[in-house]
Amino acid sequence: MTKILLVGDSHLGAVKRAHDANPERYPSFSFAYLGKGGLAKTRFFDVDEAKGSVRIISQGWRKLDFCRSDQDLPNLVVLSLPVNTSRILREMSWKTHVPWRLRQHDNEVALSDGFVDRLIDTDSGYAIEYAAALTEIGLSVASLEAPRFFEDAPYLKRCRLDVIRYIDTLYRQRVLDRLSDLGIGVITQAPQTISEIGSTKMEFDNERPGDMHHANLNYGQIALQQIQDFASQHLGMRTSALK
Amino acid sequence: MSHPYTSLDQRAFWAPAVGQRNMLDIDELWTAPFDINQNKKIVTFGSCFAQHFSRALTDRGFTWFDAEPAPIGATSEAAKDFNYGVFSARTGNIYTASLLLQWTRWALGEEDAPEIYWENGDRVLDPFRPAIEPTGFATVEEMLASRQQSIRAFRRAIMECNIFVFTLGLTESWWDTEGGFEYPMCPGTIGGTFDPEKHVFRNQDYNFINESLVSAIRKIRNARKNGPSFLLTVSPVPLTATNSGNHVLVASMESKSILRAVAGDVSRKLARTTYFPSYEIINSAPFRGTFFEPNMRSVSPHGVEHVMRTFFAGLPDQASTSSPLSDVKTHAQDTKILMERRQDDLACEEELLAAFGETRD
Repeated sequence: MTKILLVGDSHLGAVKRAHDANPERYPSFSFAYLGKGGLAKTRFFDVDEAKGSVRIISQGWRKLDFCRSDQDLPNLVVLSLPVNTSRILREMSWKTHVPWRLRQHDNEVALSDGFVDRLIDTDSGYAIEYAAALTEIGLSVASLEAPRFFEDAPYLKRCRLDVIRYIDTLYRQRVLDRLSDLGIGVITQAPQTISEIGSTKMEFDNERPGDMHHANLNYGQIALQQIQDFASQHLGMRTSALK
Repeated sequence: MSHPYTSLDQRAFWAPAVGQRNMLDIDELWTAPFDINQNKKIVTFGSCFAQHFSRALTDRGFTWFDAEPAPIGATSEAAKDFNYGVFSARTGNIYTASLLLQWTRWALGEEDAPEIYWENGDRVLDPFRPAIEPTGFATVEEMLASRQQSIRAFRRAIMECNIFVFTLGLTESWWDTEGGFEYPMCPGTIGGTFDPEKHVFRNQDYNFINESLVSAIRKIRNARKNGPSFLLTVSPVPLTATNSGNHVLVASMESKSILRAVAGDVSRKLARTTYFPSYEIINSAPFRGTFFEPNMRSVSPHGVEHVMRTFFAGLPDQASTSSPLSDVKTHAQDTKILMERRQDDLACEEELLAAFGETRD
């Protein structure tokens, strides 16, 4: 049977819940939650080229190892990690610092394109390298885009929407380009879940009122189907063959 | 019979102050003539050696004021590569007193910075800050916007600081004959193209440096009520190269001697201006070149530490450690971001708990 392994951060939660609601429909799917996405900014994995293995080394993350010689390697690894803008939007001071083109106010510090690119590369670099390392040991890898920000994200109360949108769009494009260069496909966020302002529609906001950046079960169902469709196309099989 | 020397401290005499001591026991080289404490906002500009002051001040809990900081959350590596946190604004090195005056005029709106640029392949460099970005800028417009940002930040540093630390580095300078302005680096070295008709060398003399420095200090002070006190230093780092025609060692000594003399004169001439002897600590004979790296040019971390230890030893006890209001605001914003991060972490855990039935923290 075809095996599809979903690996990554907490944005897998909505997909996992959707899967659990209807496991019979997606028998090929299994999940490996690594840990909080925040650790993706650090060197969280190790590569042994001689053995052809890639293993997670970060404290607090699940110890997930892949080795070229493993008999039961998945046919497709779907990685929810590299295309996730929540860290950069949440942890940077986009109120005090803005890309130079967007500067409007005296109290805003203008940042060069080169520096903004560097911030993005620093944030996404290890996750992209992890995806690349998995492909180098022979795995088929796709990246699952994390949902865009929600309108009630706390940083939107202090930062300008156009700045947040700019960073969000630039980040996604830059990371998508790098993944594309590495031959890694991306399962992008479903258009029907994106609002006119570029956020994730509030109808897909997490069920818990205090959670302002994860999506809900409905979103997870859409993403799950997208993964299924991607796998069908990518693995050259009909959907039924995946079951 | 009494004479002036009979009443002098031991520190005025070579034998007890220097000759009979281990070099590391030579003390009382400097005493702060005005109040320097953790409540004072201190800005640092100048030659390369000035950046050691910012680090040491920050490490010891002083309020080093960064008017153009990297955004919260940027890694220290990224910030360093883009020259954030090196000086109090991203001016790059201000090697000469006349460059300080030039930046001051721009910041105070007396002159506009010339809209010149250097092309380096498909990238654009700022002739006034040629190494400020690791690979330059994408467009002239972006470079000019970045320079204006640094000029605004330099102005903010001037307008808000209590103490302005300036490290004099060079007498040798390069000027544009058409525009009448000064470059921090000779065109054609890091970027640009050298044009012998347009780019002229000027080895600044004592009077020119003195006038430039006094003018810059007065302008900075007069820009607002209660302008800052000044702490002048001379970089102990010898020249990398000289265009003076002299041997580089001779040129270095001449250059530093002139700068040292100007700093001494200006600190005596102007109120609330002092000279701190970092140059002497590294370069004078009793220290036997100990604080240089093997290339006899770079100052070792031990040397920097010794200089800064001497600096802090010259300060009276710091009574208060509270932060100025603007820094409290910055801290508040840091805290807000951290709180939100924690809130999201919590949300992550809850999300996982719901989906996977466990957390891994």
